[in-house]
Amino acid sequence: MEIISFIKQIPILTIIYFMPLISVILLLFIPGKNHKAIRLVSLIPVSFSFLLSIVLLFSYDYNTGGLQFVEKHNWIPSIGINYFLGVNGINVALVLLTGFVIVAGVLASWNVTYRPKEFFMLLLTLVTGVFGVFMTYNLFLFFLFYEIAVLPMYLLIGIWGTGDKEYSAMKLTLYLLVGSALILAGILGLYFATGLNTFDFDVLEQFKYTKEFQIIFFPILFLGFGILAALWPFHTWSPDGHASAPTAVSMLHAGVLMKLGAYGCLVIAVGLLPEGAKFWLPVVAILTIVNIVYGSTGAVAQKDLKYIVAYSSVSHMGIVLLGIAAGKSAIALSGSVFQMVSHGIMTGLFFALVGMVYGRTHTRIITDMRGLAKVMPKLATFFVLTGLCSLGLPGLSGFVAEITTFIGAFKVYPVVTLICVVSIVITAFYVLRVVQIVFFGPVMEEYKNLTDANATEFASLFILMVFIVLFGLYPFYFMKVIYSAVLPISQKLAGM
Amino acid sequence: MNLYLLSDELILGTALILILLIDFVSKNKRIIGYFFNIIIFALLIFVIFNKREGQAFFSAFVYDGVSWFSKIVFLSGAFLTGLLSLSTIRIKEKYYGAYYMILGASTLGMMFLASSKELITLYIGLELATISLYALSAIYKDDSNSLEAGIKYLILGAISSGLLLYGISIVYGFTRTTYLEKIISLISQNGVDSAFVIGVILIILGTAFKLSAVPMHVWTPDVYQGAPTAITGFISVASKSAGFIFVMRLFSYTFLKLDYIWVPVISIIAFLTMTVGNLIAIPQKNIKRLLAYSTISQAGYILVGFVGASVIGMSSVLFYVFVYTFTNIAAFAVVAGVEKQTNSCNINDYASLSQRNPLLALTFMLSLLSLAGIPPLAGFVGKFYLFYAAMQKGYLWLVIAAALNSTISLYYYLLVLKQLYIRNEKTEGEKIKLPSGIIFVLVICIAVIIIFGIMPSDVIDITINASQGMFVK
Repeated sequence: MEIISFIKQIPILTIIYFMPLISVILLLFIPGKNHKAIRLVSLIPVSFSFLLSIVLLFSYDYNTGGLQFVEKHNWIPSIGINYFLGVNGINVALVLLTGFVIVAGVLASWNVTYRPKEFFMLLLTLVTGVFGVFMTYNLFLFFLFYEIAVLPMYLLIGIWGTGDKEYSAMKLTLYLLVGSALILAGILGLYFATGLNTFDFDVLEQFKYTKEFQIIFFPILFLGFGILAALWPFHTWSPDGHASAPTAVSMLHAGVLMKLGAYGCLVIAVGLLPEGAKFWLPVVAILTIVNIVYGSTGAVAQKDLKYIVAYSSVSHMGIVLLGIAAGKSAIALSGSVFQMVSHGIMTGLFFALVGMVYGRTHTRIITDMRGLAKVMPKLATFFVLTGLCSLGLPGLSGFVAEITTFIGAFKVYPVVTLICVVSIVITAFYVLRVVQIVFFGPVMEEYKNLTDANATEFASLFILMVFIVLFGLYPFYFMKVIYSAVLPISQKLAGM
Repeated sequence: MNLYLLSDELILGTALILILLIDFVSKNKRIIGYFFNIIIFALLIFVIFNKREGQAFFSAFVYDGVSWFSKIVFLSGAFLTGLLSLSTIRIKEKYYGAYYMILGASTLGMMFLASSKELITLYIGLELATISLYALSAIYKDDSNSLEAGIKYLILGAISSGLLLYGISIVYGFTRTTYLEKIISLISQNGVDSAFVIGVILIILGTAFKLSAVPMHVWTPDVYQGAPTAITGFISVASKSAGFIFVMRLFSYTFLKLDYIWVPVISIIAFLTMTVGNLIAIPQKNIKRLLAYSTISQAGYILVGFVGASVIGMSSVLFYVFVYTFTNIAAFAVVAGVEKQTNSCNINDYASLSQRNPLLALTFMLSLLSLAGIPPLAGFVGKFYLFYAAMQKGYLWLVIAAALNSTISLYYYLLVLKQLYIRNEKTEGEKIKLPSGIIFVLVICIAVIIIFGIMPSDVIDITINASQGMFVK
């Protein structure tokens, strides 16, 4: 207990998001040729953040719930902008997710040799933004971190990407910034509707907005965040962007950044404007059908491994959004948040694996590969496990997340949920097809000399896999933490 | 009569005469440049630490928070431009005296403008600032682009001055006074009729020229392209800021009661200005033309602030003008630095600048991102504050349009960034060496862009005080 009281005294949240920033500053002074130093300087601080985010999970008191580890200071007092950090159960889960995905991401980029200094600087700036978004409760600060998280992506994809990278980078950036333009307008609207001269979330949350206001501003905010969460029909940046991005960036983007959109939808759009949500969520539910079904059928049609994973992300994010749409049920909401984490890990693993396979075979077209399990058994094992998680095998985290979401959502939208459940079958089809084509059968001649995962790659995959299994076998503690935070939101929605 | 109130202008005026004298006496013309910069810098420091309150000449000349703050902005602009001119200006040494003298005269005009509360003084300040710039744009006598810039600027400027004067004369005709205070009281007593509205609209159109706002923006790209780069920077910030101070004194203050007339007009002009500027910027191949259209769109964003409530709106405009001065000069300093060595303003010649000179590339990136309003840079806070002001008056459509416009602008800024960082064809391209004057400008601008992005609170409070002070009798 002494440890917990100690942790409550130090500004642990600031430390967590500041660690990657320290790396960025240190990297400025390291010569670009010294690859080893660059990697270590990038890895060590984020590992520390990762450890702290685990500590955070266990020191968060879910019986009390609400915001904890609050840090609050004046920043621009004249217009109500405070430096206000704090975490509830959802934030704890997402900070943890960010922690391990970035560690795995840095490890997976161990072999970046082209301008590595700039690569890691941008990557870690991005992570600073992501950590920041997940722990701030002042809307201005939220928006600031949000933009920091979005923009480095342009250069990361543009410089280190593959394929039609400049096009994808531009498309992704512009889509996301259209989203953030809407978010900005929405945030300002929320601020002035209260007349309380503050951007602090806890104050805005107490205010009762008029119904007309909620009905106008809910779609503005939900759409703004929905674009980043790949809400259909605004998802088209996602397959192109993910496919062109370098491995670590795809991992981080699909794993964490898309969650940032879903998080905004949940906490800001739904959390602050429940009446607007009540009015619009049925529409969202319909859109999620398209997300889920279209995403999974899209994945079936693709031949490029990265596109398959990218489309499967669209489909899985649909499940997250379905959970949010069924927000009246606290079970669906906790399933949705759990799915954010589970999908974050899983897709991170997928992209890491695809990157590693591509680094060896130099192709991502599935029909060009065969029998890789014989030459790279470790990678194959990881891939199969991840695939099984993706199709919802009991015992892995994907199962827990999906079944909770569907059970919760069924009570609210039975027909929609039934249609969506069908998508699991399609998922099973494309996952097993990939596994069978790429990894089984006789190995092709030109791939006979390929090597299996090396130590850093293995470490990167292992970190993520541990959590998939852990959350699959023992989800209860984690679920309680999440549940403590989503309950107030669903009560708000159900209470009307 | 309190001469202390006018001391800033008197010092600068004396310095300008001294420059003329040095020009006559001295063989070494280079010292004129150094002299100019030292004087401007000293004056800047003097102004910063000598905030005065009061009025002179029957309140035609006032010294309040707004004039104090805008003088700081103008002098910073002039100082950075002077520094930049030291190493990038390509004129014969015998013209140095004229060059710095005119630059100083333009600054003097802006400083008078900042303190005027009378229509004729305001007009004269504005014209002194602009007419000097006509001459500076055409100072490259052998370059047809530069001459074209000067002539175009002169002719279109003359037309706009005509519109402005006509508008002012209508206002005078109705109120029989040129003192702003008296105009205010007459308007609130007697109201206005429809012919007065025409006067207001003519004034808006006349000033729109100085702001390079649509529909009076057509001169901008040609002048910006032809003028010496340092001067382009100066036109894009100082002369534009002067226009905004003029609008502020006249509309946000004097015609505050008539906001039902001018706010809709300004909101539409703001929308058109940013949209047109951004859309035409996209296909540009010349960096100076691209930045010209970008500054047009910036003027649109600043006009959004005027739509906002009076105190907050003016404060947001002041803050943005301050930030924008450093941001835009940073961009033009980079252009000047590259141009000095490569003699080219073609965007394609910026390929892999990050390898050829990291400082230039970094400054360019920061200033462009700040112009696009990306955190944690100063431009972000500035834009946020402008939109905040407009939203306070409930202009949701304008805020959404402006925010979406920022996205459009980011598109062409990213195209430039792509050249700087992503393109790598010219890795072998020559390294770019910079004179220390430019490095100094770049470092100052970077510092301002970052520091006031992270800690804007003090400056925001200053601007709020300044705009509140304007309404206190």
